[in-house]
Amino acid sequence: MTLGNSKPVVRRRNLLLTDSLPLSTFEHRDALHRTSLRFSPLERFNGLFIRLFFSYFKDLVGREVTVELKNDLAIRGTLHSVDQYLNIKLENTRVVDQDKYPHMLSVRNCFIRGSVVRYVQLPPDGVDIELLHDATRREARGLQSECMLDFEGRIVL
Amino acid sequence: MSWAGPEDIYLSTSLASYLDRKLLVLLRDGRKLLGILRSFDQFANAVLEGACDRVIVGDSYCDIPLGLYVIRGENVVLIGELDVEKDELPPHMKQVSVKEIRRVSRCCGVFKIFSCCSSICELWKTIGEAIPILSKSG
Repeated sequence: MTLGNSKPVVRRRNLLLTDSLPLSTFEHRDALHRTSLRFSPLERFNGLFIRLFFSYFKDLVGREVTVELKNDLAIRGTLHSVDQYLNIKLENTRVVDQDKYPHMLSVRNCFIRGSVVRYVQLPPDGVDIELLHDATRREARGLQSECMLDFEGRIVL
Repeated sequence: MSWAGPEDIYLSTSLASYLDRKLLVLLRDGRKLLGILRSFDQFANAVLEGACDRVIVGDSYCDIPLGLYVIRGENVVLIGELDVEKDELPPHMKQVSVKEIRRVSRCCGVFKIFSCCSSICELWKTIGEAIPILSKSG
């Protein structure tokens, strides 16, 4: 499928990178650009903040966090990486209540499935609340005023 | 878990770094499986070779051998890499036989039921005592 040059929207199907998006099309994207939180139109069309927390956690890589799981296990460690499902990889882990979980004694690196995380406890200086507020507000506003995009990313409204 | 996209080239949450290593897999039902990771996919489904189920009851434990296991990813809580230089368990814990650990865990289960029952009885007693007080004031 080829797109005419008059169409402002670039085909989205294979591109989740937002680097190629024309920044002038959506003015709030400039603010997002500064915050390094970027979203493709398809993701916004889904109506979900799929990548908001993913991008936020990506910025937190290297920080010390405590992950509390739904089975009440709390693990402290350095955030190594995160993915789109918010699966978390921690390094230099130690369990908060070591005596209760003897089997975790020699575990130093672990992969935690995103679906079992209850909380991620962050260092108090690890959160720029205003930045997060702004990004969320802009996304919500963007979703409201956003024109409808079809599967291919073409504007239909 | 995903295959790293172009922007994630420096960030990888895939289990590829854990392949062919002895791992501890915690499951949602509380089981602890140890084994060598042979395969995985984007749902955190995993294939463990030489898997054993480490049952811990108090200060005794037992590794029940299971063989080749395919674990569905939705049951996985955590996959931990065991540090070979460190002890897997505290030194005060002692290993017992399979029969012994099954016997101990059965007793423990019964004890838990008993203690649950007694705490429920306490609760009902308290409620029973509280009702006349509440109805008097209310």
